Amino acid sequence: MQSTYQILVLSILLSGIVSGFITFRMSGMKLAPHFLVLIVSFIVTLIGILTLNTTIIYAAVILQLLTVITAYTQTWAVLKYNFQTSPAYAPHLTLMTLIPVLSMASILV
Amino acid sequence: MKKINALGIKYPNSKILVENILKHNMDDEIIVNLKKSETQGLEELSEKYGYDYRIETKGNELVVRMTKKDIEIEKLDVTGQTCPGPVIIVGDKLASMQIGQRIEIDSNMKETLDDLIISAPEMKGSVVEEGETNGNYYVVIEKVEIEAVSQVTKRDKVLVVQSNGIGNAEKAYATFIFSKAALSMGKEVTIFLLMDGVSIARKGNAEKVKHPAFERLDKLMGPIIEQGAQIYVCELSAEFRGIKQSDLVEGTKLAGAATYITLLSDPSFAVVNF
Repeated sequence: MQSTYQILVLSILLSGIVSGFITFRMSGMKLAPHFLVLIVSFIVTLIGILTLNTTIIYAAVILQLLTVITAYTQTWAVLKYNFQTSPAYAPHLTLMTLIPVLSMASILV
Repeated sequence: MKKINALGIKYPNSKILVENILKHNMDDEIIVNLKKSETQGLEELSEKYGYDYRIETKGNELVVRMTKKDIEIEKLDVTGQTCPGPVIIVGDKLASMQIGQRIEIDSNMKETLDDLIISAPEMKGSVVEEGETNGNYYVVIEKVEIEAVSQVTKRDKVLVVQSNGIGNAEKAYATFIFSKAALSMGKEVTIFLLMDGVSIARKGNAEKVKHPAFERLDKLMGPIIEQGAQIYVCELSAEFRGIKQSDLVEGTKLAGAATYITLLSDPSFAVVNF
């Protein structure tokens, strides 16, 4: 287990807070569950990097994966029915989609 | 049969009189008594309104007989045609028809015919009959002469065009908040959802839109439908997204391009875009 991947995830989560906030304002409260998980995930990831505690890093990885899942479940209707508006959600979703590979790498590599 | 004595009436008043009669006539035959010199233009009129023209002389007088030509109703089946196919086919057909001629349009989709019924006046057509036989729907449209529309028309209706859908909560809210205001002001409100806008009408989607300062979107939308706002959902945009009439919330219905164009062409509508 190494912290490099977790640092990369942390930077993505931080960027995700910014892009997510913009998306959040556009879609209303629909993204609230995702945004909550995203912030909690950021905090736990930061603690994991600072302490290098294995349990906390595992918890951070679970939260990171949950962040990605909620990003898609909360925007699914927009992605499915809003062809013209969905590109506004693309930057945030793209950032979120970077997370799983790096998260898994942090515990497997 | 209608008999008109127009012996004292001179041309062009005689022509104007006969045209007005033909325009509103429900009888199969009209007989007009005229002086010999006052028949100018009547033959063209009878042709224009679909009547056979015959003249009998009685001394210095003429008896003009105008008998309605046999009405043959041509049939057009627009089953399987997707919007705006039916309106193009019917519009082209009506353009080639003479006043008084009728056409029957058949389809297995009621929405397609509803679209044509709404847009018929724009195509110089008047719906004379509509119904259903063995699960298929039909409408009979007669070509009519449209009288000139007054240039000064009161804009007492509001057409709200929404093309952003649930992906843009502010515009989705604005659509219904604005409609609510317009209804309160005694305006007749019609909402046309097209492109991404159709996502609002899909069952369950409006429930997902919530801003802390406002009620959930579906709770705003429901009362507006109950208050009489007509919500049309663009058929083509819905098809693009795999949305069918059965997927739509109650009070909303699929409509084609013809309905949209007719609404836009109606000068009594003020149009707002969201």
